[in-house]
Amino acid sequence: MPLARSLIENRAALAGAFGNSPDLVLRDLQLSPQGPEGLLVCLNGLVEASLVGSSVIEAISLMDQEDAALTDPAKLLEALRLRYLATTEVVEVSSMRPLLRRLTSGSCVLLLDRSATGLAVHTAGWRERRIDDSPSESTIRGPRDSFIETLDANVAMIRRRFRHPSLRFEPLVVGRATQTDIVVAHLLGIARESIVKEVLTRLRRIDIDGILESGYIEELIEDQPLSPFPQILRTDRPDRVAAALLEGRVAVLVDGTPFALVMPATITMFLTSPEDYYDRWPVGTFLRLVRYAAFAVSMALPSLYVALTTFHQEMLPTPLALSIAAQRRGVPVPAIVEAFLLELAFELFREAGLRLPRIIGPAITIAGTLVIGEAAARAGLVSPVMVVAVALTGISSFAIPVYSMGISIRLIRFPLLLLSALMGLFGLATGLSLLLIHVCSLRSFGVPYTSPFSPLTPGGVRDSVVRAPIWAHDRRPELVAHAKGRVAARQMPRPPKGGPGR
Amino acid sequence: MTDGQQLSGRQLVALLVLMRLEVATIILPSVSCVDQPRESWVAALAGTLAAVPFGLLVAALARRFPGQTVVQFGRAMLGRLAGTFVAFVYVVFFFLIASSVSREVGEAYVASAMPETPWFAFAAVVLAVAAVAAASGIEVIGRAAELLVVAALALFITVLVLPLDMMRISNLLPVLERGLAPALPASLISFGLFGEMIAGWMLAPYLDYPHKMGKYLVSYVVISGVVLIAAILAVVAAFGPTANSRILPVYNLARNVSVARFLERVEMIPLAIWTFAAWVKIGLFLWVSAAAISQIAGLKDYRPLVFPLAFLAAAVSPVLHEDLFGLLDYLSWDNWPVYACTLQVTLLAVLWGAALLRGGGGKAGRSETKRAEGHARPGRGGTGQRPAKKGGHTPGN
Repeated sequence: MPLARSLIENRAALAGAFGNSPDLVLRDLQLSPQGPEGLLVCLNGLVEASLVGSSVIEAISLMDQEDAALTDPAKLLEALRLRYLATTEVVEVSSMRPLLRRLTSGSCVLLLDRSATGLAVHTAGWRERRIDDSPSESTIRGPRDSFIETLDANVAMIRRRFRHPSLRFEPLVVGRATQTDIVVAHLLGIARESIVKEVLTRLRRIDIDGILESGYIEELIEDQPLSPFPQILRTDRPDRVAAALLEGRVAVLVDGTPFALVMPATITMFLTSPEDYYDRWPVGTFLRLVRYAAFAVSMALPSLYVALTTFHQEMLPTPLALSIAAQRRGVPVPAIVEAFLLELAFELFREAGLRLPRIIGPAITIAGTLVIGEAAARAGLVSPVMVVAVALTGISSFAIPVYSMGISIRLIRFPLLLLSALMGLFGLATGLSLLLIHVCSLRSFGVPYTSPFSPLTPGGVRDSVVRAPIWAHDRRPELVAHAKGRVAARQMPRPPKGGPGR
Repeated sequence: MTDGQQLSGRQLVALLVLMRLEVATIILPSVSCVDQPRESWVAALAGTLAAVPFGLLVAALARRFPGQTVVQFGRAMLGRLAGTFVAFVYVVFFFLIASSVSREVGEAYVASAMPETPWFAFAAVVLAVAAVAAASGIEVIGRAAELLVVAALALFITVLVLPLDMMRISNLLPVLERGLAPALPASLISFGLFGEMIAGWMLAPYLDYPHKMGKYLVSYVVISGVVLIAAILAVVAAFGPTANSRILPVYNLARNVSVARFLERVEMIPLAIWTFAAWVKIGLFLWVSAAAISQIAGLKDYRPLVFPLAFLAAAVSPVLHEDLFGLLDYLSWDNWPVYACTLQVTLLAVLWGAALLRGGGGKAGRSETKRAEGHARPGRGGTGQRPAKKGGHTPGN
């Protein structure tokens, strides 16, 4: 719908569009004694009031004699746009829909009588959270910034890391009611065009009333929606997004969400922490190995314990078997029930500790350690070995650096537990086999989830269980990006030759 | 026809190695099914060596019409009727392997870790897992195999190395005291098992480099041959002349491990290897049988056949063998080589002869190689959307 030429009509249309909402500010302006009447529109709270005051209202009042004498609204707008309005972005709008969109994005709009165009002046400024240390992926060494809820700030955080203009952001708007801004980031010439295109296609297909978190987007564009495994990595660290972009991956930033989505994601990425690359490579590799072990333990340890103690006692070393048997004497329930009880209790305490107001948190911890660790074992409800096993499992699942993966594995643990209680090691092997078949059939944006292990790619393996030294890390993941030329050849530092004898 | 699925050469080798490792971990028929275990490594070596030209022949025939399976090849060479007959024999052969392996796993579990459960429970579950795998596509089985084979080989070698203290070189001596000739017939046992690689021909259309089939088959034979001979040497060195009385030799070997009074009883390892290898093998052969039937019958999709075949395999498995000893008997000198080697060698000879007489393929085949290669390369690893390379220009240059 185009704007009307009459200011009164436009004013009525705007008021009607927002239903006389109290946050709609309509301020009359007389630009000059003989000039047309003006109207400044903005939404309270979305604009920086001082900016509107100084860069718009005050700037208009500073018009010189000649411009103030203009009576033609078109010329007046032109002069204002070019010479007076003192903000970075001033855009002409001539129909209602973009005008409303500008308003709700924090611009203020200047309308003149007898003119069917207005000027949208970028004056956005709302209360933002401080840029802070990443709450969900903390590191000891590495940058201390993390994404916040404002898209512009998040985009800037990524842009600041890339001075070369090959970093591209493709804007999109999703959501009928929320009209959420979404930005797709990728590196031109490195990311595969086909994958970028696929991401954009899937995003454009979305038709929903609202997007409140990037999780909505994740569920709407992932490859295998019924899988328990996350197929898109979410992170709140700009450095991690930058690293992914350098590997040729695509990042999706959603307004109002302090988490970016990174795709295509493979299973190794969920066991990676940015710090692996910041510490020296032997440390990074060791930490990776620890995490892969944690992955295995958190998935299978309780099941293995149940299978061994219920079906295959003969496979334990004799002293260990005797000690377990002694501890289990008097426990009134079979191992599987014991395991389920403890696992459930653990999940309860975890969940309660997470949702409670932070002040009450320690109380839960005390109750948890006392009740589970001590009392339950002493009361003979559970055996101490089982407490150890479950605690180890819980800690291991916390060692998985991406929360969404850690929680998926916790989910998988229960069917595995059931299977090993039914059929011992054979049941466990069956469960793991089915899991393996499932994981092998997963893809993330066409890239097999199990790469770089299968299909094995030489570039990818250097950054999987091991973390190759930076100078040896010369290839990008082949299936994701144009592979070569990551690090120039012969960068391995060496002592200078033939120096003075030391 | 390949519905966009692709298999890398490494995945093919992984599949075949796991297939071979399955029998070696459970029964190790080269030891348990012969009279003179001390000679068995020579027999296995001979079987391995004989399998190399066999594999090369398969690959040479497959290269005539790259991207075609043994079923399609047979029909092209022998005509519709005879070709269908040969294809049908192969289907039965493949299907019986799937069924027999499920029986093998079931019996092995009963004989080892879970004596009170009926074997059929294990067989049915393994068949179900394998059917799920087969229905997910050959690409999924291939990827799973590629992941599993590394762990399986590493664990297998661990099991062979850990009981070093039990092994006596004297158990292996004297070498060939009866001479070479009496040792050789037993080589047909392992040759027959190696011959199952003909299933690899069914995967030819899915390979990214179909003309390298020979390399893949030879590397399969070499890798599994080395592992097999190592296993035989370890078992015989550990158990001596009575090695052939152990029903599950590798499992028995693992049972006897005791390192520093802590690392004891690692029989969990062979259990894990044979369970995983078994469903990969059954999955492979269910898939191969289903694919072969769908090609014979001209079906578009093999998937609807997988689960019926799995049920059929479950139904057939109790009939195949009397019990574990029946199974051993089946794999021993009297039966298995007669059945498998005859079938494999005869059928391949027929196909070869027909190919020689017909002289088909040739140049047409070669040009087709290129086409297949060009088609195969872009989707490798199955992104299925990899565009042509466009020299990776990096930012900041």
